[in-house]
Amino acid sequence: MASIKDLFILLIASSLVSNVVLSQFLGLCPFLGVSKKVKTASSMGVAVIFVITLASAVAGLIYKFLLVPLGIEYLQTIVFILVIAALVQFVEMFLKKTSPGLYQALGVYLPLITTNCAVLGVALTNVQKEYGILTGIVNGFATAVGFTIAIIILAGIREKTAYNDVPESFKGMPMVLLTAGLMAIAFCGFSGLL
Amino acid sequence: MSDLKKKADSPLERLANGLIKENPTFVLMLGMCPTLAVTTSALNGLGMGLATTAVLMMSNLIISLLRKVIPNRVRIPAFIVIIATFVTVVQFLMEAYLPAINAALGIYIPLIVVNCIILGRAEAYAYSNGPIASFFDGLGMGLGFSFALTCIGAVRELLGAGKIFDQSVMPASYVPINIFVLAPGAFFVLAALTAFQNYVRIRLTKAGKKEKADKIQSGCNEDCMNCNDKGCAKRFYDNTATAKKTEEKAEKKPEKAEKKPESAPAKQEETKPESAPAKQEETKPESAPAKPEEKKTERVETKPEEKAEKETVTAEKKSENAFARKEEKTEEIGEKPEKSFREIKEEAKRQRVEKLKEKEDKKNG
Repeated sequence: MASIKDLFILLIASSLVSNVVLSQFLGLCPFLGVSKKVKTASSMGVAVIFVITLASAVAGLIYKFLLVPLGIEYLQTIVFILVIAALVQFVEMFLKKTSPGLYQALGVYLPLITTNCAVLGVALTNVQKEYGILTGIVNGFATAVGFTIAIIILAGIREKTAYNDVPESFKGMPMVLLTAGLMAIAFCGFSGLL
Repeated sequence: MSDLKKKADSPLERLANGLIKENPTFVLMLGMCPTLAVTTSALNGLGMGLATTAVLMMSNLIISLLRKVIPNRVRIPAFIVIIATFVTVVQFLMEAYLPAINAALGIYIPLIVVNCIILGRAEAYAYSNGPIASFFDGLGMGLGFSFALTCIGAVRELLGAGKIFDQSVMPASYVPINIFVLAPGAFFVLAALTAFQNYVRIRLTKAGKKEKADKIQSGCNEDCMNCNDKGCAKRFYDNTATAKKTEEKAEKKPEKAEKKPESAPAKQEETKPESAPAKQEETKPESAPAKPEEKKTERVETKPEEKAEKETVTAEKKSENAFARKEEKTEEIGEKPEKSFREIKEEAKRQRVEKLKEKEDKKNG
């Protein structure tokens, strides 16, 4: 069992120091795609936190109690991706039936998350680094928080720079990528934290 | 789409198509995650590219061979299982024979599963074309991807470390700009690349070559519902793909579609008669005018076949239902194909909001 201190360090490390988007490049599509407005970006962030935390828990349980006892760890990639896809669809249906309010807030973003490589990335990292289930969940949560922080900051900057006069070729995606690059430099500063 | 690419499906044409005309990275902007993450050096880029090529070739081949067996409704889960299998194979091969590159690429090897290019080619090409053409399509696309990754890796390595393939090429006085091999450099290089793409597109549009310009994608712009990026994985989740797929399939194998035309469900017809043409126009404005009526009938015709096949499925029931449900949800959008692209977009958006509200009201009251 990992101590509280270890978990806290992991929380900081996964959310800030090795930020999932800005230093690992996972989940770039939603990061660049859904970051036009702070409001949508934060909804996306919340949905991602929800799904990644849940997915890392489920993937961890399946790995420990199904794949390892049966000796079929090599099937992890296949199993994880199917589990995640099924989980996301299930969560979406569940939310739709039980809490329409939450569904309206998150619903649109849920299917997009299935293709978010961050979800699978976290599940695989947990296995690779041999995290326990609790550590895995904390890692998933921290990664997702890191994603949310990054996407909200990017959305804030994009709102400010939306009407700036930039060269025609740099309008749109190149500007966003430059912004992300500058943010990545800023996040490099966190590497001294631990 | 068909008129753009179906000139010839010969192996050579497919190779050229993947390498140059529809280069997945430089032209279509697909699979950005690995592109950014592993291109710290030319060698890593090449390794990742070749691993992806292997998976792409094999998955395209197998999917193409199984295309008549895989029911339309569960095709995405089926593709994913096939792709994941080959990714696992490649991962273990690399672990055994290329441990150094495998260590450098780390988690990005299993993540080839979620690379948009592979699912995109399976959906856009392999599922509706013969095995040999599909195999070479995968090879061409994969080589195009490898080429792009190697180039980007070489640029980053050159600027960031003064080397290419670990050979020093810069004069000794050159001070490496370290940032280019770090994470931010990836964003800057990609920004320069997309800016160049935009430049080319603007030039093409000004020169009056609209179709050519339209083919160039500049990354994801969030609006999946109206995106015409035919390779992006996300669009599988909002059925524009499904609509187009059905059409394509019907075009390809009319005899299959006409197997049981008499059982075409009337319900489908009366509830959503016009949704397909509008959707078509939304996704591919330039090719729409020719197709609406043809599309409408085909859509209805292919439905029974899907229905019948649905019963055979048990294992992947859950995801199947989910996909089907998604499909229904977006089918309700859009009515009048005569409108301009922008109008249809707005209309669709408004109707979507209304539908959501209606559903909400129903639940509450």
